[in-house]
Amino acid sequence: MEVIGDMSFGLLLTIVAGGLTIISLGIMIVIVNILKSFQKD
Amino acid sequence: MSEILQVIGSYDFLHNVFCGFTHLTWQAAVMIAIGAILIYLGVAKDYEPLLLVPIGFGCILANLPLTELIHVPREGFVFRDDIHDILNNVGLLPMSEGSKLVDQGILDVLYNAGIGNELFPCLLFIGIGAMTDFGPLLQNPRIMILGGAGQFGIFLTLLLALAIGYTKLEAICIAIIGACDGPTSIYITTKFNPTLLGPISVAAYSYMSLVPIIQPPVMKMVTTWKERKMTMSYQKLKPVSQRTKVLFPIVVTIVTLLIAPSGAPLMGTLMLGNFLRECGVVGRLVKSAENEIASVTTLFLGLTVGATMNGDVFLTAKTLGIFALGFIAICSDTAFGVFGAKIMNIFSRVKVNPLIGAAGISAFPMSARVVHKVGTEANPQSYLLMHAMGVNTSGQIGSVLAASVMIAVITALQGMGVNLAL
Repeated sequence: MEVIGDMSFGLLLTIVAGGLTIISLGIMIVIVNILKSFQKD
Repeated sequence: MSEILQVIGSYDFLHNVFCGFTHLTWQAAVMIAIGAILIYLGVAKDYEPLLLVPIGFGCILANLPLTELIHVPREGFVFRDDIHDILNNVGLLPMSEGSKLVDQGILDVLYNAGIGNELFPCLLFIGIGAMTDFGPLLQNPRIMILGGAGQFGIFLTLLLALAIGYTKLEAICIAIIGACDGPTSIYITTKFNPTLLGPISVAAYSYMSLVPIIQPPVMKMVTTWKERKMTMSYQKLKPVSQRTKVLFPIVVTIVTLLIAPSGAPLMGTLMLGNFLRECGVVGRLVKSAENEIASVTTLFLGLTVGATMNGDVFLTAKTLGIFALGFIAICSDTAFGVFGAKIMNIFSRVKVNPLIGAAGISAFPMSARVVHKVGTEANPQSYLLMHAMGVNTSGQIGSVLAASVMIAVITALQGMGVNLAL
């Protein structure tokens, strides 16, 4: 594959990069909650 | 005497003696005026003075004729060094066709040392990390998702830029203005389209300084008065231990770099700075990172970025488009952040004031203050500042994360042999 259409490129970036950003933040939320659950009050 | 008069009266003599005036073009004059306006905005109006003053001065220096401080666009020049001299002496010119062999000016040296190789934005990120307290975010980690929602203006702008005819690499650089993060914009632009460095960095820093003017009308447009007056409690927020704060930058680094390894220079340096701050044993390094390193880098970065504002590159219709799209990016970031908070409220028992979503951008702490102000206008009993600060710091992570993931996707496409210049 040597060429990708402009809008296809934009949509690909939006879906993959936007999705991965949200997934990464979701993973971080889970990990922070796990870390906090080990906290002594 | 007549000989002297003859010399003084000759066109060549006057042309060379007053070479500064005779080589001044209208584009250079306009750019000098723009540099002066940037300095005025920084000095008199206090709009991001730490960046706009060196950018403005760099712009003036670089556009004064024959100063040879910097050579832009960079593609047109090859810089003289020992190897070039040796090859030149034996008749082998190591130059691409049409390029000119020149000596490096002092701003060329700075450009090659810190902008061309993307070092300066990363050094700045160490300072930003050292200055950032993620405590309010860690108290209420679910608001981290709003820092992601606030980045969707980047993608909307990307689609708009592509739709109106910008090339793919130009559109990425323009869209990243929506990160509302100067160093990230500079990093991405240097990586993908350095010729746009001047207009994009000026647009990014100008809009960042205008956040208190741009955001409130957008916030009011996408929320009702009833939503804006909602109060948020602090009682349910559990204090965060120092151990969690120390582990957070390490966790973020590992998670994000496993997902987007090519974002390591951005996320790695941001989290390094924050780890230095939170580990509590390297006070001297923290002090240096947030003061000396950040200040020196800001000066060199601003000066060099300003110096890339050459009239031939800056005074084009493209620049106008960049400013218009940058404005759309920041407005839509604000709106997407608010919509993100509204969607979160649908699925959550504990409701949040949708206004705090607007702070999911990287303009810290200005955006959080704006959210608090708009909230207290609707309800003087409402105190949103710390919640908004949490979202604002998540916006910093979100913007760097979005940029890192974009780099990863683009690198993957390039690895597959896709020519993004077409």
